[in-house]
Amino acid sequence: MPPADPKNKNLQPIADLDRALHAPARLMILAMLHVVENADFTFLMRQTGLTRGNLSTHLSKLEEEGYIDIKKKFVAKKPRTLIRLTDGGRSAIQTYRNYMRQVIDDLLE
Amino acid sequence: MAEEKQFKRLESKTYLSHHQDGLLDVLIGQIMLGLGFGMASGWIGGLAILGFFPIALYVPLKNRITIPRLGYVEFIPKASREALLKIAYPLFFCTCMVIFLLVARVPEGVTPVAPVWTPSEAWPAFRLWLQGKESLLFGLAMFIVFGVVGMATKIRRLFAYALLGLMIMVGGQLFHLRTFIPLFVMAGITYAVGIIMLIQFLRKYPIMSEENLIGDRDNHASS
Repeated sequence: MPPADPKNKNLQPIADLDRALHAPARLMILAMLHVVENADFTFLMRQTGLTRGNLSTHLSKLEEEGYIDIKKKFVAKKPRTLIRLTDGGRSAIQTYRNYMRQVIDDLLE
Repeated sequence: MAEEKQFKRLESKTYLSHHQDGLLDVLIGQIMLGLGFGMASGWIGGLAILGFFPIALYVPLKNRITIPRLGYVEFIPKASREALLKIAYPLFFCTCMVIFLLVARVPEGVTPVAPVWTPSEAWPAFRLWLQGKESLLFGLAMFIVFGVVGMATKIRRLFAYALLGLMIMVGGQLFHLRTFIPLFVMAGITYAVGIIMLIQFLRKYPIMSEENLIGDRDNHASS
């Protein structure tokens, strides 16, 4: 979806929010990955309450943006998908947090 | 700052959720039971085997029960937590062994399975004094170790075990009970808590199958 072009320029910072992050499901995933070293697919499903298909879609998007790193490996002959937050993802969360705070502060002024 | 606290809370809750399976409690119960049987029979080899045996089972059980239900996660290593956990069990076990060796008495009417190691009578008065405080010493050892592990892991029920262990062992001391009796009581309590938690865990988190995954929340799948 192309970025919105608000007529009221005061709203432009909101329109400029990182869309890859600005979705509750993706924020939940990133928040979880922020506090752990790495986790598997089942863990993220349990913690976020997302369905397999839904989680898979969001993970693909986040991987595409370079925010997470997905590795598949076999443990005791069973496949395990390990997901880890990249440095880029970590800094994107920080940037998003600061940006959101700034946007809200500016709007309330 | 507030966000940092929220992330820490999230991490803490996630960490704790991985210890709600009751396995830790069953493990503690098994160790207590092992120590109790070791003391009751006066068999030090048995004490060592029964005390260490549950540790070997813990990880396979975690892999078999918890991970398929809750998923696999590696937590960011915390130096203080890791260090405390690494020393906690050896500390407890060594303390128990030292106390046991110092104060070991074969209960009346029990024939030891293996010869009981008898320490030298270098400090008979001290040994005699220790023998009179055996339960209390075990209680203090439990209090310290559960307290240390509780602080390291932030699992609150371990603090309850620390207090309960101390109270039960002091009770045993006051009523002049053999040390293994309060140990069995403690084992029974932790076992019961562990089994109840395990049943609740198994009910709350069934193994994920395709059917379980349909119809959950839909959270803005559109990108």
